[in-house]
Amino acid sequence: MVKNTNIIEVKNLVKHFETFKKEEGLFSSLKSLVKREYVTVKALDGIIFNVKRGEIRGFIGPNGAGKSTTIKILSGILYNTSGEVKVNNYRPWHDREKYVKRIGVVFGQKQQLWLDLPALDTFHLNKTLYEIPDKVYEKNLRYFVKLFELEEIVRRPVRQLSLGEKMKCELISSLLHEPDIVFLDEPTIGLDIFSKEKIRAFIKQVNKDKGITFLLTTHDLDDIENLCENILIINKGKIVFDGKLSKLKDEVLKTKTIDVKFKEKVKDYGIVPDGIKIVSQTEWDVRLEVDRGKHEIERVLNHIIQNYPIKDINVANPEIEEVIKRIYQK
Amino acid sequence: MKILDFFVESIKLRIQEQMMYKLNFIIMMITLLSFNLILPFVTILIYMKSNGFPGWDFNQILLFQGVFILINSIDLMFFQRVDWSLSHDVRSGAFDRYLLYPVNTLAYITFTNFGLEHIADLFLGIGIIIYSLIKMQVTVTLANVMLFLGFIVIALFFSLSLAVIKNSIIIRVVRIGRLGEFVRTLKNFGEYPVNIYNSFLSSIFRYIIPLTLLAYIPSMILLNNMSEKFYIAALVVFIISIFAIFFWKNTLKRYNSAGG
Repeated sequence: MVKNTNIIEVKNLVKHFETFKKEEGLFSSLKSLVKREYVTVKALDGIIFNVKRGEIRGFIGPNGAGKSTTIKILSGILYNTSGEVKVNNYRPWHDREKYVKRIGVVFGQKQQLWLDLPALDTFHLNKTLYEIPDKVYEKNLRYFVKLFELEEIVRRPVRQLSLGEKMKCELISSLLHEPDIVFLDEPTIGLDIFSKEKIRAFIKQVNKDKGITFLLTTHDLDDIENLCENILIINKGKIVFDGKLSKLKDEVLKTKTIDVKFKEKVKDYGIVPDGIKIVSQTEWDVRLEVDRGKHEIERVLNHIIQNYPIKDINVANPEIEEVIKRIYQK
Repeated sequence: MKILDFFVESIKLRIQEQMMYKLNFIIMMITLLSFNLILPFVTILIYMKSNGFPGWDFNQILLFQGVFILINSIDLMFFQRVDWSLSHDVRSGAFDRYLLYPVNTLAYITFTNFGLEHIADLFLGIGIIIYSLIKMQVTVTLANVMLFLGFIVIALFFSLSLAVIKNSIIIRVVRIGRLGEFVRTLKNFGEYPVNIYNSFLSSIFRYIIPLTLLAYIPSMILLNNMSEKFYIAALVVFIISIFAIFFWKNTLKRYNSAGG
């Protein structure tokens, strides 16, 4: 029997919410008491995707695109309106108690640790909830606490910890029971650069050592670039991209940027061919945008090197923000 | 048994949580004990100043008070805190986390909101029951004690069902103001002998919303006045419980979380 390499399989997933509209003001509120105008919000409109076991998959999209709704359905918090979802061979909202034993979830904006007690106490409660054997618990606790260097932190009341420290404790809490998959909903939100880097390194190491799959939603594109080979992009309830990050960059951006610094002043560049645009220029440097559909980068570079007094030349890859912006606009 | 282990761990954590703030814990225990000691004395004063309750003497009314305090204390320990924390959690979306643990959601909500604040009431209720039985020189048989405890359990199931229905309503409408208070006020009707009410209310409290379970029935059992009709209240609780379970499950299906 061929083992299913997909840990998540989503087919034609639809989720609608019923809500109501209300204009501003007191009169409108009074009117709303008597008669409300209900609307149906199509949060997810038939999305389809798979995630392979052992991956760290990025899941991005603008605000209100449907990322959190998808995570909530995958983690069993919400029911679907229609469509199929299988995670780790379970339908999340059926057999919920058995299903959630094999997953971990971390919400960047919602806490799960007990605020007034040290994180160790919440870990111990989770040990009971997830029925983690003593030896497994001790081993995992030692491993994760050491990885994050949190020996003293886990003994202090959670409410006294910094945002970064809290998030690290939340991550440990979600991993102690050795889940097969962890859903991370904006885990680096609001954190400083050092904390972000530590969390990224942690996720990478755990993925490598324990083979745990991660599905990560984020607005921080550095998270994506550092962690994910494959990404999903969602916009207005539909998947608009599902594939390799490098392919995204190649497909969406057909231009490359060339930055040139000159040894001597250059006042005149001559006739600039169609397909090459001067983005900015001074007498000492120039930035060019080259349409790769019309010109080979190598030929353009050779031409510049042969005809101009070059001090330095650099070909810049497309910025991921630009890539994503263009996808969002589709 | 996992659920029992989880219950024990949750209570330990709640106690630890409350002990993190030493002064608050001590003051809380003192004020609650004082407040709950006043309640029977107020009843005694009212009783002594008025004609009391026709057909019932002072010690019998004291017994009712003791039983009511006993049952109410357990109710409050498990369900009082849930009222305000659940509404807050549903509004903020924090309720989501209750659905992420491999344990019955209701059990998680209830056990993690367990409050020690009314533990003193529990001992007070037991003390008043024993005192009033001694004063009345009532012979309490083992059979009566077992029956008494059985009906206490049924009364707690009744409280649990009401709590489940109330929690379901909170999740559906998000903000329900003083629903918890309304339910508590309703339950206070169960503090007194049911025959002090007119026949309409008396029938409601016996057969529709069996508030008689909260003091009347258990007290009557201890006073050797068991009746077959008491089992009707148990049947009503069974029906309410079934409804509560289905209502709760349907509520979770319709749960929409908060944005983000």
